[in-house]
Amino acid sequence: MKHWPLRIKLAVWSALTVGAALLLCGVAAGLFVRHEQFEALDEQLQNEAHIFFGEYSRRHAPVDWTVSGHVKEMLPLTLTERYVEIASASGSILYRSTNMGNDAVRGAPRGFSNVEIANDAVRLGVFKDKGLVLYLAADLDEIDEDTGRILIGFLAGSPLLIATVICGGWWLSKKALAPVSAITSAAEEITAERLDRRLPVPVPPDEIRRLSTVLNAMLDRLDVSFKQAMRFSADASHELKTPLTLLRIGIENLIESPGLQPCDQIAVAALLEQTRQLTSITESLLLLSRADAGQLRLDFSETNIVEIVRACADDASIMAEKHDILIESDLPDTLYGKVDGGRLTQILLNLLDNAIKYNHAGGQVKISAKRRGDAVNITVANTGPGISPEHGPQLFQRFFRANLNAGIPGRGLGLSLARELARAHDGGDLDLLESDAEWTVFSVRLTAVEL
Amino acid sequence: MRVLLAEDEKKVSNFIRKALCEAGYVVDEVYDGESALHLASSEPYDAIILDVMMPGRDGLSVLKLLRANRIFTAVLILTARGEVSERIEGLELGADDYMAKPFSMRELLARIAALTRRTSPERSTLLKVADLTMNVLTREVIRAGQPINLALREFALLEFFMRAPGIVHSRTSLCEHVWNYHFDTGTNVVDVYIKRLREKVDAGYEVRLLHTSRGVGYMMKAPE
Repeated sequence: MKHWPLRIKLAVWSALTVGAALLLCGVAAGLFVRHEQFEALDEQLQNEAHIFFGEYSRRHAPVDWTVSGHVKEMLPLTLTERYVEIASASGSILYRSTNMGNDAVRGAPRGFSNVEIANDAVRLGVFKDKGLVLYLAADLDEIDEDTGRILIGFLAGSPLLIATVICGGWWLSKKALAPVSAITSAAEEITAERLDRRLPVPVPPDEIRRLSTVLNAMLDRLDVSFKQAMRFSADASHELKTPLTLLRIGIENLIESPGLQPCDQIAVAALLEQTRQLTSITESLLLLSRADAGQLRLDFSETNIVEIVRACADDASIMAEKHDILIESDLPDTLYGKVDGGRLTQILLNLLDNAIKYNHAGGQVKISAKRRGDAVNITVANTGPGISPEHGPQLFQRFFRANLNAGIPGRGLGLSLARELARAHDGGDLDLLESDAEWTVFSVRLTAVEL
Repeated sequence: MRVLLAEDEKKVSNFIRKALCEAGYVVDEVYDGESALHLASSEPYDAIILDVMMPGRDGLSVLKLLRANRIFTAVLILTARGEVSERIEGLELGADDYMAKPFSMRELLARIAALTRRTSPERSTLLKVADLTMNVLTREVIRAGQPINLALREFALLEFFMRAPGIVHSRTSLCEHVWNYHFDTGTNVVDVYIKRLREKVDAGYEVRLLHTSRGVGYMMKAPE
């Protein structure tokens, strides 16, 4: 029920509530009616006893209890249906009606109680007067039948009622949720490219209107900060490149100045290298900020992905030689995809460079590309120390480096950038597939195309 | 040789102008797109250096209008690197070369020199630097009578050096032109290839042809 749509939930809840209320009402009504009927019956029995004692005291001749005609004269006509027993104050039975069977009622307390006589549930009244004890009992069948009829009435009526309530609840919730549906479909239209759109604001000043207004205000703020982020990456690009250009030109001039001592030359060359590094970090950050703003523009074309993978594997083999690491590739002839060749190269070189850096002498790197359904999966696997599970989720965070003390150069931007670049492809992604003591496997997913 | 320089950052522009003047060029400096378009349309230049991001009219739009007006002066555009679409757009619009900021001044000078010389057909198939020769068609490389076996990328790298002897190429530039990688690889792939190329081309010979320009890059140079 947790996962049901709100409308169904509302309908079912209202039906359940009404059903429960109906049941309670039915039980209460049944109990009340039964109670009333008992009271009426008790009163009737009381009256009949009263009549009996009245007749008994008016008689002058002694009563012969064994002659039932005598007894019947004293009993009102209605009593023919009753169970009757008359005893003397000392306890001996004077009269017993034939329908009583052999059930003993003597010893029952004075007043009214429910007992069973001749397998019938009855209401028994015990009255003492004029030196006699009168046991008078009435059949309960009628009362039970009445109660049963009420119950059946409720039971027969409730499915109809509950069905009506479900329909009503369904209709009501549909009516109440209509503005929410409208807001939902409007919200689906709002994307990074169309942040200027707003949600419809219903006219009646209700909760939905307030929700719409609040969401629209939030969208306003989002729009503003989004535009700022976009402007930032454009401005930052320009503003950072200019001083970097000046820095580089200035340092190059210094290197070439004739009076520079050899030792100074090395120092200045190191400065130039740092400038290069700074440029590279700037590039990465600008690229990431563009990705964040949804402004990463890639140059897609339908390409044989295998050619790109093979070229990267070739470069990797050359780079791996001095580390005594073997690069193996398992590639088909062709796998086509709509990719930005340069960016895919950047992603793969980053993975391969890591696979070589985080490896041991004599280790291996395996690169493979396979078609899986409508996707092309490129995996880069290496032997290495492995990535501990607690580092897994952080791996793609910016500036995160698992082993800061390992003495391996890097800035912790490569993987996060590679993932952004992979995701900028339609259906593309980059993930850590698995990592244990033997193999660490990264997987790049791209969408395949048929040529 | 007359060069039009359109770059809105005055300090950068100043550096470029000074370097060009020292190299013997006559330089006209403008700081916005409109003036660049005006001068380029009315004066004869041997080359134009166009910054992409300029106030008013940007570099690409200037280039587009120049080509539309049938002015085919050699154009080198300066871009902020990473803007792949910009670079491709520039080349499609008819730019002759591009450079990413921050660039090496030496490289810029070399590119301008190449652009202004472009009148002569440059794509010769037989290249020669000192006793090293390369036949681009047969892919034969011979030094002092000894054939040298080169892998594909090594060949492309050597060809790039031999086509512009005496010019320093930065790692970035080599990445872009030999590998066609328009991003920082974050790897030392260029240095590794240069090392291999040296082992094949220079090792065992008295005269070295591949030189390192400390901090700047590499170049191929015949002994004076």
